[in-house]
Amino acid sequence: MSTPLLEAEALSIHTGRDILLDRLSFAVNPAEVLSITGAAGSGKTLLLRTLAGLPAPGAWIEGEVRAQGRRLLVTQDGALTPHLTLGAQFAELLAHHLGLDERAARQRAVAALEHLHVSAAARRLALYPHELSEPMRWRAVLALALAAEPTVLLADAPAASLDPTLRARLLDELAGWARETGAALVLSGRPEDGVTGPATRALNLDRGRLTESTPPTETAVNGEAPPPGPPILSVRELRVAFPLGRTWRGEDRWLTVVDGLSFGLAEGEILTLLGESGSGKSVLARAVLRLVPPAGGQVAWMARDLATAPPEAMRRARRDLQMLFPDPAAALDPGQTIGAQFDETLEALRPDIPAAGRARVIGDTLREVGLPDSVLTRFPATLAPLEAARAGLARALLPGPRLLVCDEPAATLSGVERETFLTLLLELRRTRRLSLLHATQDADTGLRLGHRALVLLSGRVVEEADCATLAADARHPYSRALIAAAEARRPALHGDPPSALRPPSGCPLRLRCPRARDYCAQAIPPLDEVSPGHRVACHYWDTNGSDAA
Amino acid sequence: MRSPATDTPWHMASRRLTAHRPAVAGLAVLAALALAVPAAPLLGGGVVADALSAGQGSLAFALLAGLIGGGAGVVWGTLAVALGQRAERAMMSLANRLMGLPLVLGVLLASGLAGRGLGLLAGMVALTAAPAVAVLTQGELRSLLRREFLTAAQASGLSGRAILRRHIAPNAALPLAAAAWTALPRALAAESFASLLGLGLPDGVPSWGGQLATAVRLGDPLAVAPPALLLALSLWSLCAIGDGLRAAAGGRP
Amino acid sequence: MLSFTARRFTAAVPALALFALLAAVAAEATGHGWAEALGAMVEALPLTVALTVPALAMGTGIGALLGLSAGLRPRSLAGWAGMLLGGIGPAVPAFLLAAVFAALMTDRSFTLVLAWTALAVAPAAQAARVARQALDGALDGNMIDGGAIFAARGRGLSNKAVLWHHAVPLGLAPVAGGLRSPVITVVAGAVAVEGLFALPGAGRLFLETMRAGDAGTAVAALAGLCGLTVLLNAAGAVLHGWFDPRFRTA
Repeated sequence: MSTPLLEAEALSIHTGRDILLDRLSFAVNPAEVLSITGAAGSGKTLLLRTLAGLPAPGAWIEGEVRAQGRRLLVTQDGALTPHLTLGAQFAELLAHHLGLDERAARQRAVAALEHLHVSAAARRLALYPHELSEPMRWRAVLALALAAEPTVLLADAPAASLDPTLRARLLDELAGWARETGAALVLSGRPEDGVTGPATRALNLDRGRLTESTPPTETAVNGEAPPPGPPILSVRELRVAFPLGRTWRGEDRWLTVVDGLSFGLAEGEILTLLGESGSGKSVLARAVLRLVPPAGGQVAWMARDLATAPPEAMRRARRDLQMLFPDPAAALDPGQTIGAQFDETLEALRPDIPAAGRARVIGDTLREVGLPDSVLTRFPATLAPLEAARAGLARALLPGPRLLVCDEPAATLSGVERETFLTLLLELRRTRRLSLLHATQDADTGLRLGHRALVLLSGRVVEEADCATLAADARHPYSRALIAAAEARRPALHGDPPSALRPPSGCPLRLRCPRARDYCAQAIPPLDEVSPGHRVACHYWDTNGSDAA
Repeated sequence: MRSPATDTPWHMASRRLTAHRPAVAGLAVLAALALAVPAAPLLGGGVVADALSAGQGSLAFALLAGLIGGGAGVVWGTLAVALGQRAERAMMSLANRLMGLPLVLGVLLASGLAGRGLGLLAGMVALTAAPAVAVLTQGELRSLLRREFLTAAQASGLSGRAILRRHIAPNAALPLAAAAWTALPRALAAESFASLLGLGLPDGVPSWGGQLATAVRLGDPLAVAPPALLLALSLWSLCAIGDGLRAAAGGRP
Repeated sequence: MLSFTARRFTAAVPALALFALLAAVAAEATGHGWAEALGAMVEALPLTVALTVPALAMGTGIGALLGLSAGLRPRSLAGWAGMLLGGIGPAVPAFLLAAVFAALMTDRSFTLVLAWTALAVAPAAQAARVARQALDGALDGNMIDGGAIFAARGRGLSNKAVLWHHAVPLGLAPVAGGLRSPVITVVAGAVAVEGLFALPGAGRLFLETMRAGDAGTAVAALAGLCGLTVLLNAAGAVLHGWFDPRFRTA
């Protein structure tokens, strides 16, 4: 057994008033990847700072941290110095750590960038950080750290802002580097961030204490069979586009976000919209509620077109159609109490309930979502994330809706709180017999909760199936990548999503697709039926490739 | 744990304001001046009493011109946001260009060529302050309009007018007040500048700038000190309160 | 960078042409020849340039240094000075200092030094304030510019390298970006300084001709001062672009 490269012994941090970290002991061996998960505020960042030898000011440290060799910390947001080119930052760092001259530093920089699959690496060295896309910036940050040959690399929530498909791949490459070079790698993040995937050992940080990580015992699962029935919501050829100004020829330019989408939703059904960010799922969710003006097509609720509905009819429809927002606290007016906003919603959507009767409706709804009455006199800024999520759910339920459109409803929640909220959502759906339209980038949650799923890419459906079918037998490489990322496996897609302003010709995935052939550039694949109810838009869906990267 | 009643956004904003120490000091100084300046005639003669009573002219004028300028700037920025993309671009580009010019020299030009009328002076001084307020206003409104609770209000079935009245206006009030406040120190400085050069307030109206001009003409260091100190204190207080207001407004999530 | 500089100064040309045109029209309308009015302005402007540019440069430079110290080493002497300077800034506009100096001045041997001092304090205070705000606590991990400074420390660079290669340029960029208001303060202050200290620059020309009712020459002098402001602003923008590449593409 080799000696550990990083060792913490009875490490405690306190501020004099609070104990932030409580007697942590662990060791990381060469070529080992340790993941430390924890909810927001559990002390991950503080721990990593202390392990890196850059303790926060005003914190008292007891116990011991022993490290061998060079320790590097990749900070939470992966910042690069904005006024230096990538090449200059590599040159400075490598001259400092390895004493390399500019030429050697350049070579090593190119090698490190290529290790993380950056194309045209040499040319990118001339770029400034703001000229890099977000995924590319993260690759550069991590390449910078790898190039300096640390023996201990600490990465605080690496690539947390990226899509799971991109993040899972990047973390896998990072872990591969640690195994190859024998470095010790520590990854921290929220349980949903997928840092446990490539780890050889997983620890969980909860209120300052470390435990061996176990997956949450209670996960929200929808065990019901999909209800049959005619659609109550039907969307036909829906198009949403935003004007981008004019070209020099005077033609209007449009950014098409949702491109001719059609689907139906039966009563009591849960339909999952699955896709990376930028796939159009969130805009689609809002366009269904006419919170974003559609550029064409039809959204019919109970066989009535909403796009042309007059204000009064639209208000009546809003009683049936409610929304859960990705950040529930931000969706509440900071200047009004929760009670005032609930009252306002009821007043606008349920004029049939007399003012005196509103308090009873509000009280009943609060009990359903598990909030005390005292929350009514509070302001949104004072709510904890889970309370805010419950309050958002209560507001949506107040008018007695029949369809809830949920846009990443648990995005602000983590770990147990997340599952608690999703379980509550499923429970209420059952008792209130609601239909759900659930947009998410997390295939795991999406497929667990839903009956049927639409996989969206560039504003189009690329695969449609029952959730069970999709989980077991996804045919589109993009769907497979989303599912792999959610299971913390390495997705087979390579490269970054193309810019929405300049989409590729033909299949929108072809630049990242492991199955792509010449023909993919020529035609947009149509939705083909694979089996009853299972449709795929891929020219080569029947090519049973292994999708190896 | 605080009781919920003290957690209203207004309480929190005023807590942030009082946590901003320069702003508190500025408020105290302004309050003292507001008491001392009207009471100055009771103090009898002397340079200090004279300087204090000259503050009447300067401060009253700054208040008048500052209110006009701040109001004009807020209207300018709000109209820009309300009138659609093309008008917004044109109006804000004009405001930005004007902000890059020494507009206060226009005050001198106007009173030099058209005579030293109070109305003209107030208008010109207000004009020096308005573009900066307009730029701040537009920025605040744009960031407010992007916030998600407005979409949520729409999903709650509120009409556009109700959203404007119940959600946009209350949340815009404090940031716009902070933006408009910046017109006050600007107006005071512009008037003092013009009066110092003999092109400001009419001869009958006492002002700190006018007193400074007299003291400089006589070469009297003792006579310079009181109006200079009072003017410096007032300018500093107004700016400090402006910073405090911005901190109070900006703390909203 | 070169093309950015060229672009910035070319963008100032229409404004300059507009000012020249206005001055010429005003001079013709009031009975002067336009050449005479513009000639008087061109003769007087160099002194104004000699007053404003050094004051702006020295003031901003010293203020920025003190402000950086206040942000990075708040407990040092320079740090205290920077905090104080940034704090009193609004209280000491150039015209006020000019009036105080003019009343105190007994002989004229220090005129130029006093004039520069009067003009330099306001830009120094502004620079100190901005630089300090830009770097407040950045070395301890405050999220300044996305936490770039702390990230550089995390990569294991020496404290000295982090300070000089990362923190200082990051603190100077907003100082250069916020030069517009000191430029206006200094140009307007120069009018007061020239008027009170009897220095024959464009500002004094503006005041004298206006008092004499000579609108044509006064407008020409004003046009010259506005032109100077526009050029100084362009120079400030170039400086901003030099410190911050993000601004170059804007």
